[in-house]
Amino acid sequence: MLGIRRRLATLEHLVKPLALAFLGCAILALGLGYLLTYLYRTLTLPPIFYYLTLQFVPQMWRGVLFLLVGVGTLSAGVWSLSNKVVIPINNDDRNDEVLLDYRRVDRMPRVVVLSGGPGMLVLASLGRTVESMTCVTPIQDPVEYYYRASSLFNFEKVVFVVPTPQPIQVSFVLDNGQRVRPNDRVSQNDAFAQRYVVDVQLDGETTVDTILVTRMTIESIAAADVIVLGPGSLFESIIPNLLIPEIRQALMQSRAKKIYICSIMTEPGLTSGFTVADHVRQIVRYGGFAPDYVLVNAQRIDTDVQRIYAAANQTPVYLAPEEYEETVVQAIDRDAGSEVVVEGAVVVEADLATAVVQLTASLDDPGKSRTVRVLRHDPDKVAAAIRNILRRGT
Amino acid sequence: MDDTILLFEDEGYRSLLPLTYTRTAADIRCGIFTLRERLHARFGQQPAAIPREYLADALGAGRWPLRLLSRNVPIMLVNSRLLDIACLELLTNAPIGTVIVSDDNNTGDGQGTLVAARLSPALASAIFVDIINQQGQRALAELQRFGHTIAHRPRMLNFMWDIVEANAECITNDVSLLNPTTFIPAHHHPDAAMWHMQAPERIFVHPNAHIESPVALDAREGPIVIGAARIEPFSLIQGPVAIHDGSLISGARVRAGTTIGPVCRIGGEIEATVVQAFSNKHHDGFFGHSYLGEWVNIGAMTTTSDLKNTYGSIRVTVEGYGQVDSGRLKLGCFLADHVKLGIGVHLNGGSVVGTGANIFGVHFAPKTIPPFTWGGERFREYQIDRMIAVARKVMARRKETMNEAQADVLRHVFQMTRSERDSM
Repeated sequence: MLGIRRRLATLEHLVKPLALAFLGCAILALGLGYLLTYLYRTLTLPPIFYYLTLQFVPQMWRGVLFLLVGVGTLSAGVWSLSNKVVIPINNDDRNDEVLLDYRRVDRMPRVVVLSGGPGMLVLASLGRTVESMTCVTPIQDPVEYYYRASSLFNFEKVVFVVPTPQPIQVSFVLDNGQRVRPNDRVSQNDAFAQRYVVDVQLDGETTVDTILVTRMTIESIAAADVIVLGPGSLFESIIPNLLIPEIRQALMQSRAKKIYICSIMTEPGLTSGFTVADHVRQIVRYGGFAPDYVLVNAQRIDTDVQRIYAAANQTPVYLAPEEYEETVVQAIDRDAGSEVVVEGAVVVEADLATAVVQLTASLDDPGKSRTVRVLRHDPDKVAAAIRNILRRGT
Repeated sequence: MDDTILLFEDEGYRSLLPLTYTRTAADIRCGIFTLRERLHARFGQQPAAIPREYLADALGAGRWPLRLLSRNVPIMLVNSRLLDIACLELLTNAPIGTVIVSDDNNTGDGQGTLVAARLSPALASAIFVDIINQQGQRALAELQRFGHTIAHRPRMLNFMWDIVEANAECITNDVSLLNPTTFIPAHHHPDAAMWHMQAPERIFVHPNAHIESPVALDAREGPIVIGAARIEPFSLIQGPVAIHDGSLISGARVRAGTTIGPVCRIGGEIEATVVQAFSNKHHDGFFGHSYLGEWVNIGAMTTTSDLKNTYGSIRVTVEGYGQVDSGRLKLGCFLADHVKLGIGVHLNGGSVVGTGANIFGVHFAPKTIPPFTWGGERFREYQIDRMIAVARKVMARRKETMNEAQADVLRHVFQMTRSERDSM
């Protein structure tokens, strides 16, 4: 009963015009009735009209019959109209707007992000156009940092959740067999410039079977429409969470679109020499699934900026032609027939980066601060690229 | 204590409607203080809160309070319905992850009530969405996985009549939280010699309290606390009673278990009643075992019954439950914020009048009146813009201004409660 009342309530702003229209119909019917009566009495009609005008039914019952059919038709019309009229947009009567035959907008997507600090801040602007955005922080990070940074930007619909209430440290095994941890800042140490990670492990006595994962992490992954991996450090921000079986299982079972945002530049000591395919391979290796899409920066990088990065032993992560010659497979995306697929992930190349001037400061020697031009993922460009992917079919 | 105190609402706020339509349960006065004020007095810091979304702007809490988890200090999560904060002492030095759970559950399902918890920001982040959505049961289930629980049953606001029931005890308990520099023992007041006092050692007054004799202050049954208020001659005040700053007692009989919030005007007789703030019951008439919200105005000779002729227990309409037997022999009425009652209105025990209702010209008001109802013999919907215009006028008389966020709360509640007025 409440449902019927609610639906009819959408017509409350049309009561007067509808009442006027019904009154017009009634007067019209009366006029038509008089006219027909006149014709019936003055003309001689064929015998078939005896049946067409239901004269075999007593006059009173004829009236009741027409009344019932009329009321039924009128009710069906009003009922049908109530589904095509929406309530006013504005409470202020002067600004009322009524939309006829409206179409409900599709539900906004629920997004889960697995990334590190800067990456999550890059993506947080997506929060304006989603139903909810849950950012699962890396298992080794304190969550306060994320809340502190994001509170500066007044993000809405964005929450940061830890996968485990206690941080769990991870360590990396480099190609030379050396073991390092994220806190060792290998990417800033020239001694590791040409090194790269060959394995990621949970530290110390942590055994994966005993790790309890927060319900919100698992539920948000299960309910997500889109899962975004990155942008951010592959080994420091994305892979650590994939080491936890429960999260890995949830990701594999999720029917959400999985988008990996590939790094713009390599990280010395972590991903030196890595290509796009190398990055994706690590996701497949540790996550047990291939992302549906991998977003790659296709913007040409200034030689000046390249030179700065080269000095820091970093090179752009592009999709090399020889790489996709090896890895191209049949695209499953109906809109991506001509696109490249790497390790099972459709490659989407787009302009994702912006060169920004960044102040770097040393806590050890504050006098050594300097400004450099660096490339960063641009929040608006990344958000636009993700929205473009969401518009694609499955 | 360095912990961030964070008030949250659980599912139980619904059983306090309509009183909680325009405020959180933590902002309902019971005793001398609201819970928010009580925590401030006890711990010396203004607690943060995660209210319902439509209340956030009006309470200055921000729509999406990310900053609450931004400090690297433990978070003391406190249920907004908690009355007895003594249990929080169990948490002040407890290990992170300690959760107080009560088996006193007014939602009728689940495994108990999440009373309070001491959490790391990380653990709090795991239930952040639950507490934003007032899902205390889900939050509790998650905390029980990671923390360790302490079973405890502190006094909480489960139903509206708990405010009345607990008020006298809370006044007595709250006295220990009074600032001794703001409230002095009555006999230190320069005018004390002119007052007729019983048990003066239990009477505490603000130095700026203006109490005109003859006046009787009887604290034999409980303390009397009088802020910078004005008590006119021929007033009788029987403790436990609290009267806040800016209020006026006009020769009234203020009986035990009564709290008069800030800037109220009280006349006639009032007993075991909480008047939230900025409300007038200036004329003759009786209110007993009742709750009056903010910006309520009671016309002359308007009276509530608080006892049935049959001495039977009084039933009250509770959101989500229907008619509930309160089990109380004495119970008056519950008036939500901005209620206006005209002259000579009589209310039955257990009456509930919703937010913004304007009732006049009727001898006996119905027992349950939906929010934003207008009329007496015949009830209609109170047009929200007119209601807000009246509320602005009323507030201006007390030098207060209704900001747009507060007006939006009223508009939101108006829309939310529309179906309640369908039968008019």
